[in-house]
Amino acid sequence: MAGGIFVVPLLTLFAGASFPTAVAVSLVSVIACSCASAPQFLSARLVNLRLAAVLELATVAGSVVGVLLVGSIAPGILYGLFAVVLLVSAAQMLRPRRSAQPLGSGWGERLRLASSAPDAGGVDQRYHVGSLPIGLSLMFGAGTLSALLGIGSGVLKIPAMDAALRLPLKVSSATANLMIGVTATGTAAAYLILGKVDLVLAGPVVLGSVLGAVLGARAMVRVNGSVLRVAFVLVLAALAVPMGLTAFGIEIGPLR
Amino acid sequence: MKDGAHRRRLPAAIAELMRWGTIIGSILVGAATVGTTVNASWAVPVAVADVSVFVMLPVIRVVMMLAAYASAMDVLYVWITTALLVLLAAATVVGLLVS
Repeated sequence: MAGGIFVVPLLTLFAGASFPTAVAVSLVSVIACSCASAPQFLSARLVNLRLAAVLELATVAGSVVGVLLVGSIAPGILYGLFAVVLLVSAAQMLRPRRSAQPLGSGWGERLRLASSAPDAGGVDQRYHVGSLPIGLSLMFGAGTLSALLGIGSGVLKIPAMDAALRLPLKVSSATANLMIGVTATGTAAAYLILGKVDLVLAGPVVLGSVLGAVLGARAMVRVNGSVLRVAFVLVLAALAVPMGLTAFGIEIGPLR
Repeated sequence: MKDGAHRRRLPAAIAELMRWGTIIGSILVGAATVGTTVNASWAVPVAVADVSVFVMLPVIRVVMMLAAYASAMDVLYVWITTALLVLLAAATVVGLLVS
């Protein structure tokens, strides 16, 4: 998770930033987070670069559609959509993971996407990639949401890689983490050229994201996964409530 | 043989790119934050530079992948990474036109 899902609500609800400003700053922080944690995952041989390139075609195409939709969607609907994404993310955290490995689909074999990654014991395990068309469709949606809401869209990438592509969990996390940078880049570059990135706000947010990403990637192996999951669900649900209320025009005074 | 070699070298090269890019970007962010606090004239250009470093890193990563696949004569992935770069450019242009 790149943190955009926390950055946008925190900037809009607590820092008084407008939704477009929060989205622009969040996209830069998402890229910074992706870049900061990538070396750790690449060194551990958990990233499937070919798969990342293929799936990025869908996420970037989705982000083009997202950019086209930005101006035509009312802010209230964007707040509501964000609240839904937060709740779906929370539900995803509680869902049990699939572990069964596919034998490999036609597309996966043709694109030579099968690879290997070390398991918990450090032994290389070969894995195949499941249904690529479904995975690409979900990635397209993830790219659209990323451009619209300024998030990394882990909410769609996790089910895509877990349920459709059936990748090992660490491989999906590491590969998705690398992909979010490219997904956000096109939109972030446009915002930067147009001067829509609040540079004063972006500095501390980016530094925080980099620090969090580096510490998070190192701590991932030591922290108790279930405790972390419950904490994440509570925070996501707590942020979904004010975002949902704002969607209906109800603003919670002390937060703004 | 050549394919196997680039498969081993490419992740290490990208990891180094991301590591040093993040360090340089973070130093620039820190400098821009200090500059903004003391109202220095150089704060805004440095802040633009730091955000630009982070925005460019994923693009440079895709270009590195394109170069690696081209040197390994992997035509399929040369096409895929080229299409990715074209889509990234399209996303930026559409963003500029629509925003």
